[in-house]
Parts: sequence; structure tokens; C-alpha cells
Amino acid sequence: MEALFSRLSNDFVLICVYLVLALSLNLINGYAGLFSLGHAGFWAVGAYCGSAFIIYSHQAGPGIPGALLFCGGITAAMGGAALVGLIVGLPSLRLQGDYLAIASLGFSLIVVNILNNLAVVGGASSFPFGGLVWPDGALYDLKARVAHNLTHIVLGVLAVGTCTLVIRNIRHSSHGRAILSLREDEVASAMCGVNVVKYKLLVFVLGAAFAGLAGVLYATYTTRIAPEAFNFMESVKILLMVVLGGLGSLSGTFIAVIVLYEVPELLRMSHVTIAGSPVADWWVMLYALVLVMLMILRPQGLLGSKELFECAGIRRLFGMAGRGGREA
Amino acid sequence: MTTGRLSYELPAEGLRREFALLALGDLTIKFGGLAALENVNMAVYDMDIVGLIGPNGAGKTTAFNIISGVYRPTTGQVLFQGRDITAMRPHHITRLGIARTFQNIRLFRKMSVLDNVRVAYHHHNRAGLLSSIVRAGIFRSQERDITERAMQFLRLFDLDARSRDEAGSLPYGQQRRLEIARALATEPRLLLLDEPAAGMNSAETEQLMELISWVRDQFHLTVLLIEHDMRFVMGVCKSITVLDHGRVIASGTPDDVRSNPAVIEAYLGEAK
Repeated sequence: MEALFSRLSNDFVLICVYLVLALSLNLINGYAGLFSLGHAGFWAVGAYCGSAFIIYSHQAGPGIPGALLFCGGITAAMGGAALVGLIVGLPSLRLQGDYLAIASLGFSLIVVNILNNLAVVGGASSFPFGGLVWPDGALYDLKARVAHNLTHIVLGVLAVGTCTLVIRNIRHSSHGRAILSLREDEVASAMCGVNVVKYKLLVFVLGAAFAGLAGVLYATYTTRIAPEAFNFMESVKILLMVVLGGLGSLSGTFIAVIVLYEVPELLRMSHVTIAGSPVADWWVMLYALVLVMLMILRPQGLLGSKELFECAGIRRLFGMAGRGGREA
Repeated sequence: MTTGRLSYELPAEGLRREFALLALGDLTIKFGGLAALENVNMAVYDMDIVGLIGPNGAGKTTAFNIISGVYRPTTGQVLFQGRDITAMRPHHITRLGIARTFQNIRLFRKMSVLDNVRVAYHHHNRAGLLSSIVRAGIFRSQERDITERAMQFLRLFDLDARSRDEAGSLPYGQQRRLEIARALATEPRLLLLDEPAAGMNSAETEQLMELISWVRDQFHLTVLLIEHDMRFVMGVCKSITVLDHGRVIASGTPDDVRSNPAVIEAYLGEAK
């Protein structure tokens, strides 16, 4: 019972973390058409900024309530990630073409290297919260652990909800249409009066800030972060979630994140072996195969740029009439 | 050097420039040492329909790209309503009142017909990002306004029935019309049309000629257009400027230009 709760809540919180990451990358990559390969870098910046704020504030004033520390941590994480996003984006977004992909890739490698050598946040070994768990209590205590997990489930839902709502509302506004037009034709959108550089920066910084939010959530949940958790492969993983779900489809991202997170987890648990090695090892190969098939059969991703309720089959299922509501 | 610049070398040049809606002054642009435009002078006056013609590679589209801010000229300046817009960024120039279409149609193909026009209205939007996120009252009233005005444009161009379709799915002629509608939605004073009749049959071209004159009167704007179809240019333009190898070789009324030896030479080769 305990084990099941622990496993389910663990999966739930981590799926929430990946959802915030993938949704915010979808804003950058799917809506604005900017190719960023360094999302894990912003995730790391958020995780370390948030953790550093919480841990050092706690050391400075042990009496500060946990909730206040956490709110400060969120602010530090989102602010830090947004600032770094601005610094990375400012030079590379002024240029047309794929400079952003190269700059963001380089950035994410640099972040991991810096963190590996930064003693104040633990260097290459992990940066633990030193027994500090929010809400107060120690993890060895079962009750505290349940409270910890439940709190993070609520926080995860709040983070995903906020992220989804903000991105959706931006998408269905004049600003969102300006952002979408960038993906279609940058020159034409400038000719329509859209400030191209401003909107690219806005999207990039906002996406980075949400990655920071995912970072602080991840850090306070795991209570122990290490630089290698944010390596380049994580950026690729997040990008694959976005591409699989469909560039520009939020509901597609939800499906893709849950599938790409749960399938390897379930395989790991199954203890089935194929040709002598556990099935989980085969997953890596299967993963690549699925992606190759996807690119051949459905290059636009599962849902393309549509949302789930816009797809004809789903509409018929729920008895909704008319064509997909794509006008807003 | 002398033939093309006659009217602009008069003492009254400064005066004329001041009253011109758009004035190009000694415009030169070089790409890697090769001059695509050289000392181009040109003036476009209010409510005129002006044609910019010339053989392929004469620098017509380059001139459009400089006016709309895509390229920055090597030397020279662009004045719009007496204001120097040479170093301005494209979206800023659009907001001052210059809109354009493209030689090869550049619609937002995956966006709806309505959204194409609504993007052009974006710079009139007064609802900030935050009020859009929290769906404040101003957001809703602004969205209503924008949608209403965009639909008006679509009705004018007979595209309202297809407002929800993807722009890329429209037939060619409608795509051309949508591009013009989108340009007009930015509420320009000056409309730049880059080969609007390209790929159209003669009936469609006829319709387009009427449309352009009608648009000019309806929206009180000035039109500068590039076109290869001579019947179109002679029919619709009040004055014409001819470019060849990056220089202005003639300008004047259609009749002047038609009989100008330099123009005939540029199009047909040297008479021996």
C-alpha cells in the first residue's frame, strides 16, 4: 500500500515536472517555431536557483516558515531562468536561422559544466537540502513523507494548470496570433507590423521561466539534485515529447509526456527479459524505432497543431457538430 | 546620368521632396561590391498609382525591400511623409503607414484566413499580455473589435465565406486577394504591390486592375507597384519609373515612357 502510494505519487509529480517543461518548450518550439535544444539548461538554472535560495535562506533564518521559503524559491527559480533566457536569447534571436539551436545547445552544456565545478551548490556531487523538507519534518518519518508527496502533488497540479492556462490564453489572443505568424513567415509578419525580435524574446524568456518553475518543483520534491540530471539528453527527451505530441498542440503534449514517461517505467517494472536482457534495455532501441516511424508516417506529431477536442473523431464521439474551432 | 533624373534636378527639388509622400534620395545599395541600385531618385505623390518597371534583375524588388526596411541602403535615404525611415526596422515602417505584398505570395499558410488579417491588426491591439492572460475586459472588447474589422476586410474582398479555412488551401487568385486584404488591414498610406498580376489570366488581371483603382479611392491611399504585364501597368498607372541595371533610365507618364528610346533599348536591346 505504502509502496504503491509512493510509486504513484512519484510518477505523478515527475510527470507534472515534465509536463511543465514540455508545455513551455511547445510555446517556444511549437508556437513560435524557434528551435531550442537547451531546455534542460533552464530547468537546471531554475532547480539550482530555487534550491540555493531555500537552503541559504533557511540557514540564515531557521525560523522562516516553509511556505514562504518555497514561494521565494519559485520567484528565484523563475526569475533566474528568465534572466538567463534573456542573456542567451538576446544575441541569438536577433539573427535569422538556426543560431538559436546552436546557442541553446552550447548553453545547456555550459550550465552542466559550471554546476559541476560550483562548490557553493555542491559541485559534481548532489546539492542536498540537508534534511530540510517542506512541509517541515524528516523524510524518514512516514507521515512527513506522505505529507511531502501530497503537497507536491497539489503543487504539481497547480504548476501544470497555471502553465497550460497561461500558454493557452496567450495563444488565443492577438499576441498569440503574432507569435504563430513568426513560425509561418518571419518577414511577412514584420511587414504586418509585428515586432519580430520582441516576440521571439518574449516567448523564449517566458518558456525559460516555466522551465525554472519545473526546476524548483523537481528540486524540492527530490530534495537532492545533481548536475547530471539536467544533461543534454534531458533536453532531447523534452523535445521528443513536444514533437511526438505535435508542435503547437497542448493536449498532444499531455498525451506524449504521459506515454513517454510511463512506458519505460512500466517496462522497468515488468521484469520481462528478451534474449537475456531486461525489456527496459530494449526500450532504448524501441524508442528510436518509434521516432523513426513517427517521422515517416506522421511528421507533424500525433495531433499536429490541433487540440484533442478539434479532431474530427473526438468531436463525433462527444456529439459536437461543425468543423474544428480553429479560428481563435 | 542625365536622362532619368530630369525632373528631380530642377531647383525646386527640395520643395517637391517635401510634398512627396515617398521620396528616394540618391539610393545606392551594394551587395559584395555589386551595385543593385545606384543613385536612384524617385518621388511618389499622394493618391497616385505609380508603376515601377524594368527588365529582370533591374533592382525593382530590391527597391521595395529597402523602402519596407528589409535591406538597409549603402548610401542615400528614404523619406516617408517627410520623415527619414532609412534605418528603421520593418515593423516600425509598417506602423508608420507602408504595407506591401510579395512577388511570391507570403501568407501565413497554416493560419486561418481570418487570422491572417487579424495579425495585420495586431499593432492596433491595446490589450497587453497580462490582460490577455487573465482575460480582462479590455482583452474581450479588443478581440471583438479586431475580429469585426478583420471580417469587414474579408467581406470587401469577398473572402468572408472562407474565413475559417487555412489560408494555404485557397485558390491562387483568392490568395493574392487575401494578401492585399492583409496589407490593407495594417491601415497604410502607401501600398507596395510586388507583381500583383503574376500568374493571373487576362480576365483575372482585368479584375485586379479594377480592384486596385477601387482600393485606392476607397482607402485614400497611394499605390506603388512592380509589374511585368505592360497592358496592366499602362492601364492602371498615372506615372511610371523605369529601372535598368539599378539605375532610373526614365520616368513620366505612360505615353512618355512608352516612346522613350532608352526604355525601348533596355527592353529590346540596342537598335543598330
